Amino acid sequence: MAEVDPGEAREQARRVLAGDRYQAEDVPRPLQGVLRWVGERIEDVSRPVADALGTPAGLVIGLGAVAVATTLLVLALVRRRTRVAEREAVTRRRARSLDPAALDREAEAAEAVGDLATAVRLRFRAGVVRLEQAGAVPARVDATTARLVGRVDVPAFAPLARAFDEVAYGGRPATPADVAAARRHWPEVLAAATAATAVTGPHPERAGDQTRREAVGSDRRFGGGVGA
Amino acid sequence: MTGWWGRVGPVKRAVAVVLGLVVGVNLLLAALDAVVGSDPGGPTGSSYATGDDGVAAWADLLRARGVTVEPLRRPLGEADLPAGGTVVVVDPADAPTPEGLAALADHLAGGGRVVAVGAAGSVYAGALLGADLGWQPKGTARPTPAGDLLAGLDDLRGDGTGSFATPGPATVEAGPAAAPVVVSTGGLLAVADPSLLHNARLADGDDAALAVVLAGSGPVAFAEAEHGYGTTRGLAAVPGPLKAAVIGLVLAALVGLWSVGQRLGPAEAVDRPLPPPRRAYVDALGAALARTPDPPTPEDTRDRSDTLAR
Repeated sequence: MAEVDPGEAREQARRVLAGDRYQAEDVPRPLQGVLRWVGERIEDVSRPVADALGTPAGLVIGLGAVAVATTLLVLALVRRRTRVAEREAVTRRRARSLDPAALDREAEAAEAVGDLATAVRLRFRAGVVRLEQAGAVPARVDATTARLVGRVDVPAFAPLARAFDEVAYGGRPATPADVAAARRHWPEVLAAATAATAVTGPHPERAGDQTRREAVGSDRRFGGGVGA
Repeated sequence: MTGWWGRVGPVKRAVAVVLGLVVGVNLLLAALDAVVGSDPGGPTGSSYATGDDGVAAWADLLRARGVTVEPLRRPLGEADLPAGGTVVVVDPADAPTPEGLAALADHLAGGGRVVAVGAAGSVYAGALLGADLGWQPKGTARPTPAGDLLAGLDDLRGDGTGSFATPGPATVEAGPAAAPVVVSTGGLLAVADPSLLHNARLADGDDAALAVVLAGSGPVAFAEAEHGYGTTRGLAAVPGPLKAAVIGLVLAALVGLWSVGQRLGPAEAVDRPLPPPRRAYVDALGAALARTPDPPTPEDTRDRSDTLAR
């Protein structure tokens, strides 16, 4: 014999079922249909793949494909980053490229205050930059004065280079004669070298070597050659 | 990020914006749903399930009537069954184990009650009876109370989704007799149609009273381990492969952050280090020469040659 009042139990059940946890409180899902459609399409593709990966051979092939894809992706990223870095380096160096006219002005200023050694060095550097721009000498980081003398077939250049070497590297004090010779002979050297280049064409190492030329002209740490 | 945004084309930007909006809107709605929304659900037949096919309302109804209700999260063979109380097994997902059946048999022998509901529950009941009750997926939707147990109830409403074809010696508690829906033998009660006790039907007719009568005066324990619930909760309950996947994703995210973040340590030089000035080289060479002894003079060489000639 059931000792339960069915009506009372029913009413209690209704109160229980009226509780929040039995009621669906939906929030708006405006993209539900679209996302469901996308999910179904993804499932259409992923299910055969998952079935294939369920076998040992499929798993090995899948892992191999992932490894190859990852390798290609990494290589592509590395190449892209390298290209970007090189472009940025060129841009930085161009921003710091030397202006021969500015070097000449600095040389005159140094001469005015009696710093003849600096004047000699700056004039020589301005001259070399002009030679590079004219294509008479290659723009190389490892360019040395002796190598330049071998390249520039102008008699007045050798004394200028020797004076520069003695002042810049040999520790010989610069004299007013050195400064005067530089001012007098550099136009002559440039004119002759430019004329010779017009006949023979620019030096083969110069083509596409803008970056190295700028590096030679801009880096003050370069003490083994013309940038000292 | 700004640099990347500036480099990509308008098409990629549009795709990125659309994807960002889709993900952002969905995250926002998901957060809103987590705060204010609810979605009744859960495993079929579980006392935790608030969906239509769960029996959480049955458990809550009993609690509302002052009955002690306990979900068993350990398998029946390992759980402490309520002495003298009722064990309810509703459509368990797991098949019965010998240990579980032995525990239920001991519980019955000790004066307890076992209520087995649904097709899977009838497997438990048949194993305890030692005879197949012949559960079939059809039956009447309006079973008629026939025995003393359900006297006073006359309006049971189900979906007609189950009955027993071969109840054998079991007492028919709700008929028809040819295909009963509720049978009993000793302390064992078997219900063929689980919809009578599901949340969706509990407030219909006399189904709530049926649920109360079947449960007895308590305490009542609902078998939940057989629905997949375990004793572990929180992070410990997360499956191992899922943990491994999450750890892998976290590591990948960290590596990604590391790769795009600022590098630590001294700044990288813009240009390669160049050799020292030639003057330093000359000074070093001069110092090395100064430390060497004077070279032999021509006279020294001649004297040495004369000595060797003698």
